[in-house]
Amino acid sequence: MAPPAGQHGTGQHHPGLPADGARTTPLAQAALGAVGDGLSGARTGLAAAADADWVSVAADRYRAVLADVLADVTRLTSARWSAHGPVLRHTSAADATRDDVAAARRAAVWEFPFP
Amino acid sequence: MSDQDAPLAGVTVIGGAGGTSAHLDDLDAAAAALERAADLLDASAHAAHDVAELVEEAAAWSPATAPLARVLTDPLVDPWRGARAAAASVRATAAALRTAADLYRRADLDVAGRLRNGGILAGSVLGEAGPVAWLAVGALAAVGAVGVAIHVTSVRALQYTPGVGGLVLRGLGAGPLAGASGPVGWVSRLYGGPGLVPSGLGPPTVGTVETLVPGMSSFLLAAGPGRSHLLGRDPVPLAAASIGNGTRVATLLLGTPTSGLLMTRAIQAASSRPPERAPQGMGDVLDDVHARYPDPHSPGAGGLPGSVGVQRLDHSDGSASWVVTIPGTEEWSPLAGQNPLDLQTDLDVVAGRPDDATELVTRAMIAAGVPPDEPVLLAGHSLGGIVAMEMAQDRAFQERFSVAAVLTAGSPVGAGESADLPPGVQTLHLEHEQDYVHGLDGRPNGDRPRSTTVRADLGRAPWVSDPTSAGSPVQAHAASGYAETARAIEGSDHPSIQAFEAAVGRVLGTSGHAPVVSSSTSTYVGVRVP
Repeated sequence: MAPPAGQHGTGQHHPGLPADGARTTPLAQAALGAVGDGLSGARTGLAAAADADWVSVAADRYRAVLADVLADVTRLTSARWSAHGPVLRHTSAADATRDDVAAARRAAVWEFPFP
Repeated sequence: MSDQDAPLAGVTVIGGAGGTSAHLDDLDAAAAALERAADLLDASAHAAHDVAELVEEAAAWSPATAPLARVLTDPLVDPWRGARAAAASVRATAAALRTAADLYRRADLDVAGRLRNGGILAGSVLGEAGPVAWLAVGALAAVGAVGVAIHVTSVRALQYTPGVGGLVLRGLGAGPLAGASGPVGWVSRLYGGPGLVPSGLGPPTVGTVETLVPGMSSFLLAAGPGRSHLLGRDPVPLAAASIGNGTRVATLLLGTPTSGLLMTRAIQAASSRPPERAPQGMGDVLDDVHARYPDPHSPGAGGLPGSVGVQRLDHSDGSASWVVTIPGTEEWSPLAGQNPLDLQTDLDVVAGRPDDATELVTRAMIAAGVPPDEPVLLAGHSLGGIVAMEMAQDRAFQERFSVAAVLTAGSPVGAGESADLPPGVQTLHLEHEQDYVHGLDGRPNGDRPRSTTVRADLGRAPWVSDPTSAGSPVQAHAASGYAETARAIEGSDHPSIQAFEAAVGRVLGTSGHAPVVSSSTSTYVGVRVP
């Protein structure tokens, strides 16, 4: 999923140096969004499946299994919301550090003006 | 499944919107929803894995914020409690649900199929064995029946003796044992209870008739000259075709052979109600079907022989709809006569051959000017019900007319029932437990989401006006009795009956549809001509 180091962003790539720009954060944001969308869609599907008009001992077991899975999905949804802020703060911090390092290295390296 | 919820005492509803088949379709739909949910959870797990990778990639640049992000991401990618594990669990549940639906379907087919095939095989073997074997088997059956009767009455007589045996037998017939299900209850009812004859004995049920008919048909076919090849074939239509050939030959030799059908419009409309009053429900429609029968007790009274009715209903919104009423067999002579609603047509319809009743109804609808886009309710009793179902499932008829619903009463429609009904068409089949006619095709009505069978036990039904109908298969088959049953179930809250009434309401202008402001009925009479 994550591109190799130095290939993120839109800035010019310098071999041996990390690329500049905020790169990990948008990717993390998109991935967290996909996690939430999947969990939300799954919850809707599970609720529809639980509505089947079926009355028997097996049906009771089926509903118990679905209730467990729905509880798991609820727990995962909650975990996803808990992770959202800290993960984005972490990737933003990493992106900022990477940008700082890239800027510092760029300033320290003299580039030959001719191709 | 909850399709056996009785809307009234003595009434069983099979199939339709609330039937097992509809419920099994619900299970399939639920399984599909679970599979989609599993796919979404898998996608979610994949995205969570990406998040974890990004957290690790960023950890090298921001080690201080990494532990918290890592701890909070872990539950999403946990192999045992994460999204992937939930997806696996949901997928397994979907597979189990599909298996359960298949098992329900197979259980129904297995029991019915084995009984039917066993009867066909036994009838075929006996038929091929020849007259000596028939006599031997008949004699053995008679001796066996007499032996069983002597044994049962002797044992039951012991309950009137003062000994221990009498005490045990008196105990068998009383209390919870007699009401128990399975072998214990069966033995209790056979040997216990008052009198020398078990109380449950009586005429065979329609279920027994339905089971015996394929065997009897295969016997009939196998008893004829040459070898019969019945493997994988339904012997009932083949037997009907054979008997039909016989009646044709008999008509040729002893009667007046006919060459075609003449149809004419009658001047006087036959109706049990004023012609300007439109039918309000299933009961009224079946009253109209009943009114088409000639009165056997007073010639000239009742409906015209060989007639069908086509009623046009004009609604308040300017639309129109049609009700076609088709009576059953009116002539039982084995020789085909002038009336197209006779035994010859019965045999042709069951055999799947072109028949005069279908021809008459089609021509009547064309003559009445029924357009292809206006909804039609086909209603028939006995033979008329088979004709109505055959027409509704015919592709050419479907292109010409727009059938909204089919109502049959006492009609053997189990064999002719297929999946060829156009979408949106609802059918309802009324059957009395004490009526044998609807079992003569040898197949119970299927459980389909748009096909409802309402079976009424006249011995327990509170609405029956003629108490003798429960003890007589002939009375139980009467169209007037079916009209009473139809009226009794009108307005039921059973989902299958409600779905049918909604379809009928479109034609009759009830159930919230634009009401009928005027109606006119035309009667068409069919006559076979030499």
